Amino acid sequence: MAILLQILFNGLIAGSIYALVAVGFSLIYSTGRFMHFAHGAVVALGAYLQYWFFNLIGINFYLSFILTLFSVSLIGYLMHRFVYKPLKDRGSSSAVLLIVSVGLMIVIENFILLIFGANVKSYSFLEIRKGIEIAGALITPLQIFIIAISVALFLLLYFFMKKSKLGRIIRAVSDNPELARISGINAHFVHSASFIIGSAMASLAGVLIALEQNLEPTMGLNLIVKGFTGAVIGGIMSIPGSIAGSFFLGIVENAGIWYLPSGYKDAIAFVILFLFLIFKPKGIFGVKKRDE
Amino acid sequence: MTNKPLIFALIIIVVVIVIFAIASSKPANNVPVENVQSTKIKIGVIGPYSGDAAVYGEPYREVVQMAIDEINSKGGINGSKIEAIFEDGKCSGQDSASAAQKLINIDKVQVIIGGFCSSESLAIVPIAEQNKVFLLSAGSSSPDLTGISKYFARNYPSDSAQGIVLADVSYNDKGWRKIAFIVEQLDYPLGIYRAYTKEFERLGGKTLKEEFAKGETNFRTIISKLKAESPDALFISVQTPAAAERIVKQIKEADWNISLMVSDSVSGDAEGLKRLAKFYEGALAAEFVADEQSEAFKRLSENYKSRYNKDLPYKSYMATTYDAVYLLKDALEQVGYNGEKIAEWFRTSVKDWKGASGSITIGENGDLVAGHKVKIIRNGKSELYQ
Repeated sequence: MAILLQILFNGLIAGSIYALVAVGFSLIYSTGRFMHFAHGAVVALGAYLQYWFFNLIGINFYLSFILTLFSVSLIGYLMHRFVYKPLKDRGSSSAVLLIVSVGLMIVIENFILLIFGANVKSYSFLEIRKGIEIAGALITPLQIFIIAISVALFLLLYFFMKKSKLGRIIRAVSDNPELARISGINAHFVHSASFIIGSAMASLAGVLIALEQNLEPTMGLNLIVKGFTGAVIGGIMSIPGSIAGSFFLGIVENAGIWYLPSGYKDAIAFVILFLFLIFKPKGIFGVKKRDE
Repeated sequence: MTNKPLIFALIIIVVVIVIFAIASSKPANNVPVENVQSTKIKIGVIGPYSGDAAVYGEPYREVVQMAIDEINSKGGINGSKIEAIFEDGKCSGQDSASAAQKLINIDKVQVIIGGFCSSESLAIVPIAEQNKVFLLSAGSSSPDLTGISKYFARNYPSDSAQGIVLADVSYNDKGWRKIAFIVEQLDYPLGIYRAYTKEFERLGGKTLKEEFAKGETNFRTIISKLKAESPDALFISVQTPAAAERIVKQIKEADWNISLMVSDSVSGDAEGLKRLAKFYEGALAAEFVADEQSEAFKRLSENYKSRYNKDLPYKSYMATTYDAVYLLKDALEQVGYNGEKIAEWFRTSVKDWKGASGSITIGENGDLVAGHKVKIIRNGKSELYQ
């Protein structure tokens, strides 16, 4: 029993980390309809900016986080304004944008490498100690906090998308960009907003993930691969769905390696991805289209 | 018309790649350009200069450059200067294969120092053999490399020694019978696992293992699973100290008090041992120990410190790296710049060669004839185990 609970916890911890990455990625995808793979590198950038403010300059941790949040949001906006938007305005296909996003990812990773070096870094902000025991299973306060943030984001975004004006506009654009534009919605504003909000979430993800598993320049690639998988499983057009999909992925992966050799962990993740793409391509929370 | 943005994007990508290529191909220490003359001997150097493994890839690069500058300042090889061309193998077979292709086909090198990681060496041996280019590894220890090709030699010992001495101490000295392994899915960590298991099972013990892919950060379920098996000790066999750091932290969070063994990639990281002293206390490891009393080692250590302004890390690895450059110097002086002849020289002429890592003899199978010693980690330092 304790072991089942421990696996569930392990799955939730992994899932919440994937979810933190997936949510921003999915937001940007649903409004802009292209894969912003550099999102993983933006997460890493957030983690490193926090390291810079907190460990190198010596600003208070929470104040550093606010600075990081604003800087990364600004960088996200600039990426949209000076890289993606000019290309989109020329009518570039989403394949071009995909390649550009991979290029951006490489540029950001190498930039981090250049400034901070290749060594693994740590904030050394929290002490490593035995986790809290809940019915025989162990979990640390930081992990509970990370899970809570993911769940809170899920609820917040669910209601934000359903009830708020901006949420409705974002859904309108993601549902049918042409129709939204004809109805007088400023698509450029929505795209900028999605990059700013998405990048802000990336910085939150970056700092929490770095607290949990240290910093390295290439951390973004692994994160975006799993975040992307979680987003597809949950329904990439649905932001709450991408969070649910990430939790699902985390739990299945960890439950899976309890029975299978642990070397198959990534294989489990990608088999699930294939199954979803074949049988339920719109994901768990897939948005239905009228004409399909 | 519609092609314009695509072309524009491609141009940008190409420009960025070129800028990065130029920026990263700059010699680590801004060696003045005038040092490099037209009659230069090109040596390729493949190692992990980025990623987790850069912790030893960076000093490796520094030591190679330093040794080459030392040789050049004393007149080079029969008057010709040596030029090192560094290519990043990223500790991965795929990246080092591209690096080797580039060095062989574009730079036309006859000799490559590398790979450093076993994964790098295993991937590039077939390419080197096909092109009759000689490879000298200063860090690859996978048992799979023993006798793999006449174009490959190493002055770092095989892990079969590392696995065997640790299995022996575990069984006979510690009385352990059941050992759990957490193994990274790369050639070096898997090589240690295989060598250990072979010897431990021969003695009468049993091992069980869980593997993880490079880049994994969440080991919780692996730890829960192994903990449930109640082994006598846990062997962490990983490519880089960063992976081990995550594992020991998560072991602590899972409240598991278990005797540890670690691969020498972990015990050789002096800075990491100091920082994580409480996690590694009492852990066993088998290291290939450099002869720190030798003249060459003292010279290496002092020159490194004065040039880079920091203590020499990974002493054993760096001693073999330093020796690799000087071994090549001797080979080049005696048989000239020819991959085939150098390969032959390494098989037959390296007997009791005195270097920073001790007395070097390379056997018919291309392996260093020497072994590992068992060490124990106490108060953040690795000491000889008695």
